[in-house]
Amino acid sequence: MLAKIREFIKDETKCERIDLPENTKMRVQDFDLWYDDTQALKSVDMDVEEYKVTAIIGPSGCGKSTLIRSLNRMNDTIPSVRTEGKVWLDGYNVYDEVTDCVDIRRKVGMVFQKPNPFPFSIEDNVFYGCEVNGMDMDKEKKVKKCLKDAALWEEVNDRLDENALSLSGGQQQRLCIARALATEPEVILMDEPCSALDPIATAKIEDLIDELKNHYTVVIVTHNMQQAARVSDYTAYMYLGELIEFGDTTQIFENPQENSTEKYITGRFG
Amino acid sequence: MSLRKVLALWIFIISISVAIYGFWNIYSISEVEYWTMVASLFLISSACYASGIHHHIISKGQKGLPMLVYGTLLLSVAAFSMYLPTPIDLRPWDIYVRIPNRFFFSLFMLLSGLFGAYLSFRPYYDYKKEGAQVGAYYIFHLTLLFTLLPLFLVIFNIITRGIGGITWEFLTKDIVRMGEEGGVFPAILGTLAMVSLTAVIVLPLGVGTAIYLSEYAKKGLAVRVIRTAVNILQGTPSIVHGLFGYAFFVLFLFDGRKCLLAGSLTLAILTLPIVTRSAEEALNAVPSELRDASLALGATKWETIKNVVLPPSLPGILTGTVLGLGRAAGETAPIMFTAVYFSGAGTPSSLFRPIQALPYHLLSLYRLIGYRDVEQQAWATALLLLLIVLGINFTAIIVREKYRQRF
Amino acid sequence: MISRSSKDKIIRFIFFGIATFSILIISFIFLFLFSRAYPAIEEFGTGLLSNDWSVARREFGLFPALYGSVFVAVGALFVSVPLGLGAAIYLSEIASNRVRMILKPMIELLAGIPSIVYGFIGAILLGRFLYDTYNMRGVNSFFAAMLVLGVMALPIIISLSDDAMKSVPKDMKDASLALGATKWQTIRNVTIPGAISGISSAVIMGMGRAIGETMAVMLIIGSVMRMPVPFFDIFDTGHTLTALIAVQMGESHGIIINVLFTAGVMLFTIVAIMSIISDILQTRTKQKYEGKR
Repeated sequence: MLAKIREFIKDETKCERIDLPENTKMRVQDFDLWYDDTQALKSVDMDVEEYKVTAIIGPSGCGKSTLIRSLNRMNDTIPSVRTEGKVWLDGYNVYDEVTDCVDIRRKVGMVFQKPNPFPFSIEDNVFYGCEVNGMDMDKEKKVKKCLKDAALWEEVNDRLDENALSLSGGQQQRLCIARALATEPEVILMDEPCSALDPIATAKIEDLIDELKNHYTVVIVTHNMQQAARVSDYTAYMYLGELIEFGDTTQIFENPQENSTEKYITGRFG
Repeated sequence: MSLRKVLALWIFIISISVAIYGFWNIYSISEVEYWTMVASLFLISSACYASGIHHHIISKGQKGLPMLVYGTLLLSVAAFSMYLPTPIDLRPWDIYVRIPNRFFFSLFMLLSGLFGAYLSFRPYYDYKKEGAQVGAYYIFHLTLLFTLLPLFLVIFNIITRGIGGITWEFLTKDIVRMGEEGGVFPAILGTLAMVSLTAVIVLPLGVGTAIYLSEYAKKGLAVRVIRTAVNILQGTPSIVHGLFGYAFFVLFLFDGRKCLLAGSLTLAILTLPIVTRSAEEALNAVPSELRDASLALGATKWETIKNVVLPPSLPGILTGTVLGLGRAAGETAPIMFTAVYFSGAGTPSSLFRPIQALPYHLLSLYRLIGYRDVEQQAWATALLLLLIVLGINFTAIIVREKYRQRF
Repeated sequence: MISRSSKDKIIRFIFFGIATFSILIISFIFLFLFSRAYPAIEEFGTGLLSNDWSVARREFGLFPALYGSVFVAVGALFVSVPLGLGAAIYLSEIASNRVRMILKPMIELLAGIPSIVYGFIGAILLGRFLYDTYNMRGVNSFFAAMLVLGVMALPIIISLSDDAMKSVPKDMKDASLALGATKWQTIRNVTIPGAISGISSAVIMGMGRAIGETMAVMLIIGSVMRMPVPFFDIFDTGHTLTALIAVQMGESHGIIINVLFTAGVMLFTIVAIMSIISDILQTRTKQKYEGKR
């Protein structure tokens, strides 16, 4: 499979390549991460399937957020972080020297735990990614498309110039999803996207995730096991920085192989 | 390497040389140098043109435009500046104005060179977003350099010029003949006495205010008013403190006599907001879980504050106080009407007698320069004052950094 | 024996008493300055705002000094705002922790240099240097004062705008970075707009510091009680309210003292208003991201 020239690779000739199996979008290979002297991730190996939802579950402090932030190099913004190992995206190493850690983030979008829209108008929020990346396009069309994809268009189409902070929490989070869609990513990372929301808003986001997986690859971190069971196709269970078990969601929840996983999902943990 | 990168490098090199040249010669340029500079301006502008046009032809984008505009501006200024006589006399509305044009010309060279170098990053990175970032970082490094330059200049000059005057005699002798002979011993003692007395007055007031604001009442009208008062007090010019000290302490309380106590009280008012602010910050840094734990064990609010909140915040409170005192030690305006005499005030002996202080002594010496031979003494006094004030500040900062990571 | 809880109430009351001291001092400052200024206001009225100052003719127009104060402060901003903002952005957003640990204390040291030392250096070195090199009319000038005041206002502008930019939540910056923006784009589009009211408050405070600065200005400005001619000539000499008070106070008596107190009232009012405005702006930045959710 000869991939098209990737924008985030600065120098195509110098980069390392591997061939991933078909349908595998990303692969985490022997990945370690330290905060100063504390090791937060211990040789994690994981595959992310294309057009599927992969959930990462585990008790708090197990490194699931750290792992998902490693997939688009958001951890680079924390000065004390040091990493080892590789993360492959379509056969290119995200942590390669010739990889542009800024451009990688528009191909691998991210939605955060707390809704964090900018204090601009709704349309400026959505268009922000296009603007900073110098994508030349019709703003009105683009905003409409992204908001529709994020199932927010009906609710806000009459007040696109209002401050985004005036939306409700659930709407803000969907706006953040719309904003992430605008840079035309291939993978969307969601770091506990519903933890700050009420059940109704959560249900809407979950429906949306179901929609999104037709066009995007989704990785979601959640502390809510029911949510993982509801939305995901694959589930990874992490504990103390290690990936304990990874597999089909039904298999993980109905027939876990590891003792620790079983304890966690049956609520007999700790 | 593409043609555009070569051009960009060319702009960068020439621009930086022009900037350095302009900075170096900011106070004197000869005729030859003047023409060299004009020629380099032409060179940069032509390179800018080339790069901007290159981008236009290749990608039909608008992003090469800044280079064209900059090139045009530079070209026109270069052309115009050749007709400038030196120095120029402008006569707007028949009023004689002399503008030191060489200075401005050099300044312009400096700024335009730096700006040209900034612009060169964009074509070098193919007009991508990272080019703008590299350019912006370069500007920020420069601003930082120019920010720290005065600090080094001041300290360097004072040390090199003042060190010769610091002798044992200078430190321990009385002021003789208005400072022309003898030392500054009474002034050192006066400053130290006044600052220590200030500390005694301001510490309970400042810490008490901070405790009330951060422990007892977080919200409400009273707190808002108190906070505003503290803020206004912090912004109040020191000369206004001096006027107030004169009107209230000297004239109203002490019957028209300048004295040590009046000076200390005035300085206490000056430092009160600084102490309050830093004490509040230190108190707020104590986690609220500690307070809750103590309250849950049946301690009263005051017992909690006394035993749980104050001890860990003490280093923070003290460093804040010391920083405030550092400011007080260097102030002249608040004490010149309240505590110090031009001459004659000897070693401080009583709270109700005027004193001599280092900053004011420096001022007196400055006023004598040109009439008496005191310049060396003035530099030495400045150095001594700087050592005391920066020494106080430095100690406070070191202590603070040491205790910073506690919670 | 008092019970523990009533003792607690008494202590609370004592602290309240101490805290009201600041209010008391502010009102006392205003009261005492105004009562000393009143005789002059009564006698000269609006004549105090006129252009003419002459002790012999008993004309005490403070306008040249007022103009000088504002003129020199605005000039100082041209030096300190570009430098200060650049340095603040560098410190809060770009510098690594280690660099920050070194630079922050250095900027605090810059703030610690006494103003009389600045004035001394400014008058002896800078003034003479400008005089020798550019054939200026004299050692003293607005220009030299603007340079020195610009440097003196730097630390406060840096530290306040640094605080303002630090108070923009990391969430926002992360969101921008996650969309593929560079750090500089994030600073320009998210951090600076988010901190803009805090930054303006910093600029106002810097200007307040420049207006209120006394000793440095006094030694450099020239202390001539007239308007610069023409009014924008930065190479002319002049006077400021602060320098006027400091220079005249020691050698005057009678009604002039009251006039000087009027100058003090003006100064205090201007700077207090600036403090209040900057205070409001500062709280606004902090509330911007907290209040809405």
